[in-house]
Amino acid sequence: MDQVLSADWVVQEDQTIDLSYANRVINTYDEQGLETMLRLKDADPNCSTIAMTLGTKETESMLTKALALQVEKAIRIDGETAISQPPQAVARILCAGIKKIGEVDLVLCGRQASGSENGQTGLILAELLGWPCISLVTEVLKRDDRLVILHQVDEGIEEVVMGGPVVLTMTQSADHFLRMATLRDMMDAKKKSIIHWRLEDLKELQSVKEAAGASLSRIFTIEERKKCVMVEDAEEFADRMIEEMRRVSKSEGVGL
Amino acid sequence: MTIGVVGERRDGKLTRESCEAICRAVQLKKQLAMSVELVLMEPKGVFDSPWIDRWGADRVVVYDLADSERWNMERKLSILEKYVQETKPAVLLFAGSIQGQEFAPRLATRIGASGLVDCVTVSADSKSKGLSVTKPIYGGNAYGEYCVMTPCFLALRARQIKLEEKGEVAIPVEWREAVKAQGCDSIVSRRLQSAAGHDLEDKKILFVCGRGIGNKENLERIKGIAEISSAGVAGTKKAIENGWLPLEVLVGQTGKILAPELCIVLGASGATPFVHGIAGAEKIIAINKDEDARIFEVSDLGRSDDCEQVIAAIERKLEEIL
Repeated sequence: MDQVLSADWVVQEDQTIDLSYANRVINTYDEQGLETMLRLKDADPNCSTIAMTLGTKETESMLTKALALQVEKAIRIDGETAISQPPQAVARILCAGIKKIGEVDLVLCGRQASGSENGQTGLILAELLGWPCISLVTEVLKRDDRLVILHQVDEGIEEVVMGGPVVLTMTQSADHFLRMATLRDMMDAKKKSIIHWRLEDLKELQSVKEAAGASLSRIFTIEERKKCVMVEDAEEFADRMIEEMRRVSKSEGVGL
Repeated sequence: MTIGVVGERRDGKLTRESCEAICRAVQLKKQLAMSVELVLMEPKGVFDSPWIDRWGADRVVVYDLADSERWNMERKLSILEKYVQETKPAVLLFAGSIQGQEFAPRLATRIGASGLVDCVTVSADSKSKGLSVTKPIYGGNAYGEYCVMTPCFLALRARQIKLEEKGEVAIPVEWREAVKAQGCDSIVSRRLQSAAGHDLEDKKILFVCGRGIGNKENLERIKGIAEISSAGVAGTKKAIENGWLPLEVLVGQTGKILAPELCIVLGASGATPFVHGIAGAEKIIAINKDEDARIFEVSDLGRSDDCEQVIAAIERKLEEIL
């Protein structure tokens, strides 16, 4: 989203915003999920790794990136991911995809996408699978046959020790960036094939049309721009800043 | 019909986010002609009875839940599922907290109803006979208006409504028995690894550090300045990712949404998701090397400079004063 200039957030007549010129990249929360999966694989080479996405042909570049990072299998479920699509429908499709894969113990997904920002898909997916869900996860380790999960709660960071299956929604954390692929791995990944499933291939798919959800009726932007007073002189700026701090802290009864 | 509000208490008091949810429910009550019911899950021993309401709720339903079960989300979800089956609220509002954002979609899925999180406005929609809800999309660069049919489960965004006290009124309390949780046998243990302070929400002055502060040493200097004025120190996503500050003090769309009287932003470019976290501040002062940085579009006072230079100037001035 940082690639898009403020002036380009214009809602068109068809209730869309043209972002076609921006590069498609894996969003940061999904990157956290991908890196976590690779770290679990580093620690236990016996576990198998799969990257799955719902999208059109254009999303395959992201799966190729996952393959370059040594993810063993990449699956694309063919479908539209319009911003108006409710997360309930997306979760139903992903749920059917996971059931088609078969034996899955752990599903990692980003807390929210950058476009629709629903922040619901992983949570709904867990409910549909009938699995527990741990949200806003920052780190996952494997200890014996159990997972040690650190995640954000209202009171701080909680450690959960549990067995699978479980859905985890990932959030940002310090020093937890997606690793880089080597040039050779990137070239090799282009030769690897991506598994392609159509919605008709998903036997356990519940009706997507009947998925309960809110319908997006309008997109709008709010122009909020203040007239900022820029201070040229460093000394004057420091004085004005301290004056403001003094004014507010005085009202709080703190001396400055 | 009922508008339910799932409340949360900390140190015996309703959280600010819960009070905001009640205020939002009271606004809806006028439009939908429904009563407002506060739903709590609390140990019976610590509960004040009668309940004194200040925000306009009509009654309270309390499920007796032991303090040791306070963070058992699966248990709480089972309780709320039972509440929905028993009461059948038309709308169930959740506070703008981590718990609220998790519960709304999960419960909606269990019941087969609609759910939305991060809701900024909620109002009755006479055309559809449902609700009209707005929430940020595209990193907060735009908003989506959604039509939601009842019953619906909505988690609100914090700091989007002014708290309006209605005066203290004793309202009836109904105790209900909490059900046992299902399907969480796989969890072996859970413990709080580190506790988050909640004092940032109450701070009148807030310093927010971005990547542009340069290093952790400068952060310590900013903390020193903040301490003098009893200010809080928070960080942008980049400052958290660099490991300078803990995740609990992240400010922005996926962190804390704060509304201090004075917000001083150092070395943050002003990406929209971050700006959403401080948009409610009365006054914003920003320092950034780049004079075209987006942060200046939302600030009242600014200086295009290296943060280290500004920190040094402030320290010098404070030394003269104190």
